[in-house]
Amino acid sequence: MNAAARTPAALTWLVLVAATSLSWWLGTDHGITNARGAATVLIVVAFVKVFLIGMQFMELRHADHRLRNAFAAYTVLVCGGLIAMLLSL
Amino acid sequence: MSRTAEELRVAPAAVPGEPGLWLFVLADMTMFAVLFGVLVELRAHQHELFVQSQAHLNRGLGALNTLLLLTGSMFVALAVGRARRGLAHADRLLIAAMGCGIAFLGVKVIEWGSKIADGITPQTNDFFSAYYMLTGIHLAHVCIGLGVLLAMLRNVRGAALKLGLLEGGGCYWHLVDLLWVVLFPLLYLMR
Repeated sequence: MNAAARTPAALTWLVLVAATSLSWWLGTDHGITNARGAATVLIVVAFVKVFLIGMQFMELRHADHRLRNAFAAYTVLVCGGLIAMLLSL
Repeated sequence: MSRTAEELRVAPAAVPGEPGLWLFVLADMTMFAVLFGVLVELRAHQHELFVQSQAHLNRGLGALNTLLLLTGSMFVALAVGRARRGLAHADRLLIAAMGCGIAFLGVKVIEWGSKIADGITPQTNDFFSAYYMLTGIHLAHVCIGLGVLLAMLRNVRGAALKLGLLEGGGCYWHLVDLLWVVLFPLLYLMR
C-alpha cells in the first residue's frame, strides 16, 4: 500500500465503505431475520459513520473539546433516541 | 502564492472555519434529527406501507450515492490537508470532489425521474412524501455544497490562501455527506 493510501483520510474512507457494505448486507436479507434487530444495527452503524466523519474528516478530534463534545453528544443522543423510538413504538 | 502567519498554520484549527458555521451545522443536524425521527415513527405506525413503498426504491442507486459522497469527502479532506501544508494538487482533489457531487445530482435526477415515470410522486403516500421531502432538502444542501467547493477551488488557485474558508467549507461538505449516511439506511435499507 503506497503512502497516499495510508493517509488518515484514505483509511477513514475504507472503514466507511466497509461499514456501508455491512449495512447493505443487513438491508438485503442476508443478515439478521429480526426486522427491529436489523434496523437497530443499521442505525448504530450509521451513527458510527457520522462520528467517524466528524472526528476524522471534519477534524474534530483536533478541535476545541466543547465542539467535539457537542458533536459526540449529538451522535449518541440522536442514535439512542431513534433506537428508543424504534423499539418502543 | 503569499501566505500570512495564519495561513502558515499547518495544524488543524481549534474551530474549523468559525463558530458561526458550527452553530449552523449543529442546528442543521438537529433539524435532520427531527426528520429522521419522522421516518422511524412512520415505520412504526405504517409498517406495511413503509416496507411496500420502500420496495420501489432503487437501493443500488442509493448505495452508489453513498459511495459518491464518501469519496467526495475523502477528496475534500485530502485537499484541505494538502493546501494547509502548501502542497500541490489541492485544486485537482477539489475538482474530483465536485465531480462526485455532480454525479450525485445526476443519480438523483435519474432516480426521481424513474419514480415519476412510474407515477410515484410526493402525493402518492406518506412514505413517498417523506422520501421526496428528505431527499429534496438534502439535494438542496448538495447544490449549495457544490458552490462552496467552487469557492474553495478559487481560493486554492488564488493568491491568498484562506485556511478558515477551506476548513469551514470542507466541514460543510462533510455535513452533506454525514446527513446522507443516515438518510440512506433509514429510507432504503431499514425494514
